[in-house]
Amino acid sequence: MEISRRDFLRLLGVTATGATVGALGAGTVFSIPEHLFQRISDGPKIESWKTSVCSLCPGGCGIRVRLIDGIPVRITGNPLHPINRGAICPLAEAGIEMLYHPKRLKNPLKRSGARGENKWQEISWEEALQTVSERLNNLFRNNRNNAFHVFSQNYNNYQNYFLEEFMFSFGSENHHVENRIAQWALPVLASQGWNRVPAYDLLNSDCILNFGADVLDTEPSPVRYNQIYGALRNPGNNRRTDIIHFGAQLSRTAAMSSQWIPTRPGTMACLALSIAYIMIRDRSYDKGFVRNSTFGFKDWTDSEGITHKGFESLVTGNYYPERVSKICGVPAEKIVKTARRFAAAEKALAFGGEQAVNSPNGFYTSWAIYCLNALKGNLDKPGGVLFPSPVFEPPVSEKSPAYDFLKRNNFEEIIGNVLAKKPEVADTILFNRFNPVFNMPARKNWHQVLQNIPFIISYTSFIDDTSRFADLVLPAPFFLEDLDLYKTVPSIEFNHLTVQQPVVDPLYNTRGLGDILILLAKQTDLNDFKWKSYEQFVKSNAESIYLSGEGSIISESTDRSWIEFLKRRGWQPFAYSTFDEFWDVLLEKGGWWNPIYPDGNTKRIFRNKSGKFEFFSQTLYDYFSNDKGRAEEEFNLAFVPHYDPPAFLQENKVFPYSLIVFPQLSNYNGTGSRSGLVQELSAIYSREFWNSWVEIDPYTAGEFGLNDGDGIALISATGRIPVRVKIVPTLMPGVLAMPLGQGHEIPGEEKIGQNPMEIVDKEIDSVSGAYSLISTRVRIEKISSELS
Amino acid sequence: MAKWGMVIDLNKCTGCAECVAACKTENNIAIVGKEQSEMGRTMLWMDILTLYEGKYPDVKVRYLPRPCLHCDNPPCIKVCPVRATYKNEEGIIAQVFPQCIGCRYCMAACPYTVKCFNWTAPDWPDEMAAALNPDVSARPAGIVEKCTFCIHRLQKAKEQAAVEKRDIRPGEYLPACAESCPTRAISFGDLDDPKSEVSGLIRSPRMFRLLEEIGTEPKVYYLSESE
Repeated sequence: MEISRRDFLRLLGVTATGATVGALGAGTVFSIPEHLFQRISDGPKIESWKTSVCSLCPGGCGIRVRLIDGIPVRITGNPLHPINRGAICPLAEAGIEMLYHPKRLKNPLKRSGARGENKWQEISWEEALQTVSERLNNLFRNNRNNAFHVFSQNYNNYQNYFLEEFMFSFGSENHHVENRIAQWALPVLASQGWNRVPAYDLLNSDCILNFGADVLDTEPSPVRYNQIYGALRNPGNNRRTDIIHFGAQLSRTAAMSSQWIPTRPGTMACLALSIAYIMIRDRSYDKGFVRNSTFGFKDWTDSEGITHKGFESLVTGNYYPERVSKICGVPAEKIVKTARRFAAAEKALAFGGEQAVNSPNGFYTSWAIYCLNALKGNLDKPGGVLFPSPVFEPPVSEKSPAYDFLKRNNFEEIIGNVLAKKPEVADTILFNRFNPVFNMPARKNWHQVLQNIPFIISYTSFIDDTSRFADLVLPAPFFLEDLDLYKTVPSIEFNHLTVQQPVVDPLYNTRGLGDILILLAKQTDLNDFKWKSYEQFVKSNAESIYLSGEGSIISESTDRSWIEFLKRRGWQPFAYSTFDEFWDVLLEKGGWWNPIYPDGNTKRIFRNKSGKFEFFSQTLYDYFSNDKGRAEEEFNLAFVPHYDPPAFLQENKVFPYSLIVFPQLSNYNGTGSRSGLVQELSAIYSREFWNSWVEIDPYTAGEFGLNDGDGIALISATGRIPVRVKIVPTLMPGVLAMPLGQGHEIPGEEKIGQNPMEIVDKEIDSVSGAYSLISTRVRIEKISSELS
Repeated sequence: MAKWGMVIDLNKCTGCAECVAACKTENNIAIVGKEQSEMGRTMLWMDILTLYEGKYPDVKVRYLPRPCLHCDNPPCIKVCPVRATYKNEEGIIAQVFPQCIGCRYCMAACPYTVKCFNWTAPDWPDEMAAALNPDVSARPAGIVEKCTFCIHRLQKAKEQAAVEKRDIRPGEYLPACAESCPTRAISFGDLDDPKSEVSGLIRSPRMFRLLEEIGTEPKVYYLSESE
């Protein structure tokens, strides 16, 4: 850049005085909007702090926002908050940048070009809501309530409940909540009838088997798991915890473990059952627990006199290490050693995540892993699997299909129907901050589906890959401008509630979803929708916690032992004379928690008919009993954990390599791509800033004569993308890995990096309906151009 | 007089890069954009070095956060022709941005490559100007910058202590990276105070410093992984 001597001196003068207050310096170096410039340059520079919750991922970290004269300047962690204890992640740091992002939506938009062209006309809220209510009224009059669909992301916030209530009043059953954590809950439902994600007590465990759960980078709560892993590796706590990580990739989570055991993608069920095999053969499982509290371990006979094979004979008959070793690529002696270490540990647990369970056989994989905990007999015990008492949730959640883990996300069915041109299925769709075109496989299908739907509404803060196809875009406030509640994060062992307090007035003409729904209810005459404002809904939910008298508002003096001490003596830490007083303190501190783990009776964790841990799931049997026409053998296998060899593992000459996609902490699922901060930091390991890359092992790279930074085309049956290569020794040979989150496609905006979902084959777990992220087969071509 | 130093426990560090993000936002470090970034001009005061050890399958990945090491015997200040970088009485290697003439001798002299050069004037969208930290001035094009141990925070802590007529308490002055590290892998404090946390930690047998043999005496210490 050319800079004249005079300019230079001028800048020097400015920054010299800018050492205490940057406003003046900033004013010269950048151009600041007039009203803000006035405020930051003339204001008294009074610093204040407000608590809230970060809603850029479902992790639920409590935050404290630093404000100068009421203008947010930095997000830090809330030190009182039990989830993150004052820490946050790089994505949360980018929150401020995104709040002020120039591409934020400022007014409601009506489509003015062709669909997907990203051409808009600004309209008023009155006109926007009028358009929506006319459509809804029309559907209502013609008894087509179910043709109104809502797709929501699941961020543990209360707005989804409110939406659920609205949909209930409207009479549509089609509220679809993306549930990325269903695979964590399903095995517990199958075996125990417990319809929630259990908590894993990693901190008190001596031996942890982690089957491909990259918990340091993604769901359920990355900052918390970073802290847990950090604490487990600290030798100061007198004992060493062995963390054994299975996965095709040495991820950051694997790097923090004591041992990484490379395992072929899609075969983790086999591996888990082989560990079970050793435990059964050695008779080192918890015999008391298995005898007294489980069902289906030994062979058994049902009421019709048919004999079913038990878990024991299924496992001992099929999963001997020598056979499993060939399938998983793990040496047999390592399987035996790991199983014996697991069995010998006083407190041990096993859990699995994305790289294991986002697979075509994901449910059974997840279940096989979960069964190791039953063999270990660690359910409801310290250092094992914990079952905190149910959280406070609005009553609507009980009847809500969206929270039924067994009900599949019926995206597939809807896509199928729309493609088959059945217009009665979907007339109007609302995408509630949800971006399937970017995040899901089969993007071409989505493009076609969206073209076929008569009316699409998008509620979002930025135009994204999905909302560009909308007919109407409603601008959403950023989380720092919006009031909400954040419920207990799945897999956390204590109940908590965090208030998402607006820390700044909305910068633009945006409206909260709750208030939009209230106006729509009025305009569509939904008489049984009783709420007057979203604030009323939020407060009434907070009030139910206040009235329960349980737990405590988080504060400096309420650690777990102190609350337990008081509770045992019939006291509670604080008393509030009115709810308003409680509410004020809640806003000031940021949240509420109840760290007390329910006492005693282990019976409570078995909510199924047998009241036992079921290796043969009668819950599933009842659920799918209308499928009984299937062949007996296969049908029986459907109710026990087993390994189902996925089709993608077959020898494939056209597509010889496997591709797995992995999440990154600083970009979650592409939420952060708009932030320059995220772009200049999420590639800190690969040094491909503002880009994406594919990781490749040195052997495969050698075959193609590739060096770091060379271009290749990744070609799958679904598509082809050009991408740069990063050679790492941290992958199983023959497996390629690519990060998620880059490659947004919005007309008129520069595309940064590539989106691996463009080439991910659409494969779905038959039980949960979850998309597979590890089952794509690819081939490689070396290229020299087309790379940005 | 305090002597400020940092200890980074690699056993606790998970490589999450929060320190990098905290540093960038706290210090208004410029976002250089795609084009500049391609030329290797991404500005990171705190960086994370990724090191691979061993061969597949017995491979280890190590993450090593690397701020300015604030050497007690710093090579960078000796080459500065205008004394824009100097060691202050509390051991912090400070930068006087307006005094820097952009000769980049210090960048060449630094064995740890911690310094960044502003190739262009920092550029934020209008809307974002308000989001900058008012305690730290933005740097114009043509000067060198680096980690300051968040010296503006020391200034604030000192002023507060002066108002209350007392000394700075331990933990009252923390750089942004140490404050926000999720696993508390970064400790910070007075190395001259035998009772401080950092002086305890540097007596650990796991302690090492980067390129110790060249005699720069860094005041950023590392604790190696214990396996």
